[in-house]
Amino acid sequence: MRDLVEELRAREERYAAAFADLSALRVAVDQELADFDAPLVGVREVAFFPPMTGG
Amino acid sequence: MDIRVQQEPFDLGAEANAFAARQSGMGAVVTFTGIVRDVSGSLDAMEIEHYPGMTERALAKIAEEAASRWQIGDALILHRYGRLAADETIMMVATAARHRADAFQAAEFLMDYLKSRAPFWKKEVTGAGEGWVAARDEDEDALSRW
Repeated sequence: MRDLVEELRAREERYAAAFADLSALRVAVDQELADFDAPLVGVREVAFFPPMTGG
Repeated sequence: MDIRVQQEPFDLGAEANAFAARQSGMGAVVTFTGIVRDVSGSLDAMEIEHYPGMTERALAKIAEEAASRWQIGDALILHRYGRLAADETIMMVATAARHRADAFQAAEFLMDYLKSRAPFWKKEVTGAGEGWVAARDEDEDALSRW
């Protein structure tokens, strides 16, 4: 996951801005909440999003 | 367990009655309802987005967790998405248990987890513009008590 974030950061300015503060982001791997240390082997879907505000 | 994510409004009374009616041997049913608040006094709409696919799974997981911690016979989580007006019903949870303590606690647990562990996001639309509702530290802190 860390490598993916680094690759995205390096790719475009807007990614660098979006990933500036990882504590303000949540991540899901194959539609399950995960953390930024999660391995990506065999993973089909990764989603980054802001803290959730349901209820 | 009954997990529903839908755009359409729901009838709170009908849902609560149907939930209670399908229980057997349960001495307590607790329901909670979330309603759109107009915090700024100028709310045109509350727009709720979610992550289709993940949302249902996350809610089911939260309900399973509640069932593993308390003696509950059943749980319902119903959450809307889309454009809602002030005072409209956003969501409800219901729990059924033999005793009220389990029903109350499981319902509170569902709410606490749902607020910061289910992929929903609220956006307030006002005459002055629109803005995403910020997550509150208190909501995250609320999880530590469980």
